[in-house]
Amino acid sequence: MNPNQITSKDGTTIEVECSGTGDPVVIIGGIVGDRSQQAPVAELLAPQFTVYNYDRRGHGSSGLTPPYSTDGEVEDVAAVIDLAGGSACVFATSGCSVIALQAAATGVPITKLALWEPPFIVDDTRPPVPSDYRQQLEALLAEDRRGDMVALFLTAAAGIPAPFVDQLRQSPFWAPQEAFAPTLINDATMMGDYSVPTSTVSVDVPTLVLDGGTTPWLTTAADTVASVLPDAQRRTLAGQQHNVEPEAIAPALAAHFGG
Amino acid sequence: MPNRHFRALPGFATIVAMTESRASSSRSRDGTDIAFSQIGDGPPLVLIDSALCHRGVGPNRKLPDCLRDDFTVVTYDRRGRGESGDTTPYAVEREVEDIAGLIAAVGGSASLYGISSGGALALEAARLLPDLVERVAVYEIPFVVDASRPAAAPDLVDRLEQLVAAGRRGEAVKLFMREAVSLPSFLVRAMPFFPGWSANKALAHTLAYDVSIMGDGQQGRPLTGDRWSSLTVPVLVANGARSPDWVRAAAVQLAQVLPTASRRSLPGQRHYVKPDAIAPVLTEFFSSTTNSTEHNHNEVTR
Repeated sequence: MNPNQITSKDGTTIEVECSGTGDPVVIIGGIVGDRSQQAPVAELLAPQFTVYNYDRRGHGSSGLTPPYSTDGEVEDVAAVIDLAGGSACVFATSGCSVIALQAAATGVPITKLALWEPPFIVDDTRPPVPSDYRQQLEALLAEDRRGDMVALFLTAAAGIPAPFVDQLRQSPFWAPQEAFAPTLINDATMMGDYSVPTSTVSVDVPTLVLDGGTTPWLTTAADTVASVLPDAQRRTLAGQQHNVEPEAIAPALAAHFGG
Repeated sequence: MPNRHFRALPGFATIVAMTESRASSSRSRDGTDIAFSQIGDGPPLVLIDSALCHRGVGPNRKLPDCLRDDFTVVTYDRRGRGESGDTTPYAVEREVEDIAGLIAAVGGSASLYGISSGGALALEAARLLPDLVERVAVYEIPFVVDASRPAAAPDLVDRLEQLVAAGRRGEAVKLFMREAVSLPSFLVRAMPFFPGWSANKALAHTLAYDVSIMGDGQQGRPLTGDRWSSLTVPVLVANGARSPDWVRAAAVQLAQVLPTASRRSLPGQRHYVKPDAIAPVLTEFFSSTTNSTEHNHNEVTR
């Protein structure tokens, strides 16, 4: 049955889309979006792998059991890997790297890991995320100010200059992302203080850390994560932006997972 | 969390109570299921979204709550978006039929409020459905009526369709933002950095729909009233006082060429109009029984 609906440890329903044939690869994606974000990557991997692309809790067609915690997200990955046959390669994009690293560090059966631009802030080339970022989001949601939530995310967390955000806000580009405003609060919890998770040092699976070389602080983050990981490979997909082109990243993932 | 809208079984216009908002679907003339919600009590008022928006997403999102005391507010996912279906080939007339289906489902006649390209669709519906539409309000239809911004090329629809057919959805979004929206090129280049990029790309197939609705109205020529000469219903043309010159010029001209229009400029507002700014204007207009034919006026000159 596709998509599959599975039940995570705390009873949350997680919807998983399976495609392709081959060794299992689980995709953890969906930042300000659902599993459709990574569907093009899943499609490109499907000829070589059985791809499990799912809606994170609180996103798309999956459920959400409060209170939110990253532990719950890790249990979701474990449930998806269980569906995939008990072990799998895992690709995590951007902030979802937190989930993948914690899963690998706590013994979820991951055979290989690949991370795309984990957004940890480890240098001074950009302002830090305000310490009350999550509280600010909650206050805005309480007043149903979703546009302001997205604007806060873009400026304070994603580091996009305010004048850009202000202009795009008056354009048709803006609306589709507002739908995901409530998910920003859980993502803020997941990211914590935006530092590299301490569990990273105990991730002993072969991990490929990727960046695009176009955003300096993300490159520094990738370098740092790779240097902390016991078994890391580092690769730059030159010229790729944070929303990496599926055609650029899929071959790198296939080489790592298939190698 | 966004509402999970009920999708009715084919062939049935099922009404399901969901908290206070009732969600259902209406089968359009060409067989496409159009998902809609209704809330409130009073004469039916259908809200029509602009490009890339659907129920729960966009500047109309909070309007039903602001208007529910006075109207039965109907929101729907335009074909190709959200929970609604889509049937090729696309034609603007199909979207007008979608609106006709909604009006039939909620009582046989209704007023319409459309924002941006949704406003152009509202006028088209009023033109083609004279017996069903009571009053029409539009906010900032992006007509390009002079040379104060670059015109859109006449073959824009074709190029958008070709890009989407070739799987180049991102390029289609960029083309739309550059030519139809006239977004500065540095912003178009920045769009792929934004998390909303993938959500935009997912709706890329609908951009040609909105450009089709605008017809030849973005080519830098003054509007003529010919297209709407048969309109007899009162029309309110609203714009934001802080919007760019070209947007305000279009509103002024539209109000002049429509046979039955009045215009309101909303202080402090821009294109993404705030619900608490537009709602009172809509309530006043749609509650009115006077026919504004008698006083075609521009209340604010900006």
